[in-house]
Amino acid sequence: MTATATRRSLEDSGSRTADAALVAACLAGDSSAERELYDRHASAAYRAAFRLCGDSDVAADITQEAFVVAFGHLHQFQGRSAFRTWLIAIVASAARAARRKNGWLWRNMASLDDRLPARSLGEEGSDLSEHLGIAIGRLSEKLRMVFVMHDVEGFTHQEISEALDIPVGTSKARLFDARAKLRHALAHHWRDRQP
Amino acid sequence: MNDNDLQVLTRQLVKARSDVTVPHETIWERVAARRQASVRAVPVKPTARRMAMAASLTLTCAAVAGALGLARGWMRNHATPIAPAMRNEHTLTDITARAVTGAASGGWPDLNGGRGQAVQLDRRMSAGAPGGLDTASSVHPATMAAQGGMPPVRPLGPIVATTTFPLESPTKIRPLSDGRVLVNDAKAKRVLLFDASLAHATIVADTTGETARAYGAQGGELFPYAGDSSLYLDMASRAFLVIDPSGKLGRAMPAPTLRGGAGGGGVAYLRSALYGPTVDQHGNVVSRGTPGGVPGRGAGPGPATAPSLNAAPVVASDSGMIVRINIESRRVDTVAWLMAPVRATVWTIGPTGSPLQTLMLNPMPLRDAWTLMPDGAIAVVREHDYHIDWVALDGSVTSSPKIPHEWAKVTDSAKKAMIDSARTTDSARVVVQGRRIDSLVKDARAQGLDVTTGASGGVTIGGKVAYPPQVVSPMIGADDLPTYAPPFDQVGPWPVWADADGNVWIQIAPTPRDGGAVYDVVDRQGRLIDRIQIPGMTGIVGFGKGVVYLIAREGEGYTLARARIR
Repeated sequence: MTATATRRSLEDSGSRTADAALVAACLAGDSSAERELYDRHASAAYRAAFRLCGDSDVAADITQEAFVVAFGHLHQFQGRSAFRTWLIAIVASAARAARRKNGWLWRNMASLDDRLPARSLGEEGSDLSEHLGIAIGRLSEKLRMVFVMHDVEGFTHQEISEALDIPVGTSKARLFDARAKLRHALAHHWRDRQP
Repeated sequence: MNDNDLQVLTRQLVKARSDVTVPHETIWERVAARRQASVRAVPVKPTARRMAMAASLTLTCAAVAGALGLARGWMRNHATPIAPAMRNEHTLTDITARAVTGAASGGWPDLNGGRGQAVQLDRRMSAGAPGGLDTASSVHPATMAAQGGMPPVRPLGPIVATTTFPLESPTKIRPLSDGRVLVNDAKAKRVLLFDASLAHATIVADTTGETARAYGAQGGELFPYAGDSSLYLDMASRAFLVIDPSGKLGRAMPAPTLRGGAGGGGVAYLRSALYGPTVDQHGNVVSRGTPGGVPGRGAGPGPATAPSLNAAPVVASDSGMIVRINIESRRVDTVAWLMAPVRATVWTIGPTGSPLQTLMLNPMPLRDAWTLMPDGAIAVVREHDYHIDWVALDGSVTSSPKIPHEWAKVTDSAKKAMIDSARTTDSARVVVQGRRIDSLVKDARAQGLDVTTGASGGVTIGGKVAYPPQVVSPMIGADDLPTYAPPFDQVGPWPVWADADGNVWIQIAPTPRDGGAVYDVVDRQGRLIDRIQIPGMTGIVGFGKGVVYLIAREGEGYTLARARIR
């Protein structure tokens, strides 16, 4: 195990202990514990929501829904995974539901880029990162969730498996597919950038 | 590019976007309020709360947005093929692009957005299960009480018959009571009568001497008529030819004509998908009235408007009408009124510096939809609160309760994105269309054709083909967009159908990403009795007893299919 991995493991361990204590306090009726849990994980939840939907207002709604659902079902949190993993799973679920409800809006926003004249490299904001952001947005929901959770949010396949209720192998396969699609989508931009 | 390159790029992206501002306190306030309230059905988001307290204001805003809409359909060609009904996935860009390029494109783009087969939609997320969403926060205040009792979405019944050879460009079908089907295959210039198996067809009208060249050079359209007889509209002679149940062409009678109006004169309105013209069992043409006038009556020139660049948008009308015209007597009755996204115009400076009156674009117009019921009544589906007004043959109107619907709230940022994107798309359209016209002008001059440029910048080639000046259209403001997304499809020309049992099928929005369009099925009492998803890449084109007819693209042509409703 590398030093970084060891440090992360220790941090995770400490974090899980603290979260478990806060969850217990919440269940005992301590509202300040709810606030503390929120403070610890709101940013991660919002970032994940934002990366999944790409809209700040929708991300805020998703985060709100996720915390309301989480606090309302804390008694179902069994501590088998980290609280953050459990919460992000709810975020992912809420994002899926929001997408179903407002899918036409999301599609509209995503598809508009398709119709716009392609910007040439060198223009403002046309770097590879931007192309990657667009390509991620065009991934299917299943692939995007796994890609965002693994490569962006840093979840392990085991955590993704627990969060999305899919086998570890499926998580790996989806990540493989997502990366392949992204490589394909970025291939010509990448070639253009090579000296 | 390999995985390492991709991961480096991903890290750069994450780093670049790490400055995402988290509205930490705002979200917490909402969460805390909902936790304290412990009532999941109460929307506590400030904007939602305001909306809940001012439902009437919401409706007013929606009406204003609708009034500011534009009648994009007037720009379309009249000979709209059935293909639009195949549309499974509508995007704002499509809406806007069609609004601004419909006339130039000469029809509809390939709109097959759906994929895969019909699927059972997963409704678990709205059931309040862990990880699910409380949908109440997006329930339209006016309909909150009507929520619940929504049947699950189910796939359409099995397909039991399909045509065995491709149709070139069918524009309309006419199912007969014994399962046979008349089809107007416009591009092939023929009317076909398929047997009940849909495997074999006989030619009813074409351009050969065998049918006395009944299919005129300007084409025509099919309409139902009394019993199993049908009407074929010959555009050239402006006459209806009666087709008897055996498929023989019979007597001719003049079709009601329109003098002037934005829909085009003569009988062109009878081929317009926008107007949804049809013929009832009593020999009446039932059609939308046109903005310029009513079929069968003269059209006035409309109010004169002096150019004023600072003037508020001129809204020509905020409603449309449905008229019933007796083919024999030419008597015209206005039978219903519709909320319609009609033309709002403003004066702008054209490319040559002269004032130019321009339509305002509205990427999310609201409009009512309607359909003719088998008994001659008219069902008008009201978009603003999703209920049906039933107009009986005697003119009496009854309203059924609001139909349950999961209203989708349109966030302020989404509205802004929508307007910005529509504006960008329109700008791109101006550039592309401008280049196209420049090229056409160049070719015309090379061929020695006369090219004239009008004072406003429009171009006429050879004295016949005219192109208006290409300018970026003004756009309505984001605040004028409705607070809730329209409940049913706004793009397809015919989102509402009546089946043979007298139920109304309404194509609801949004269309699922997977599978085909979903229809709410509403009975004559206004009850939502079924929710049906048709297969992906298909569209409804008609109904028979217990069956629905679907069209699907096959290569360059189309296949007609019959599916059981259950």
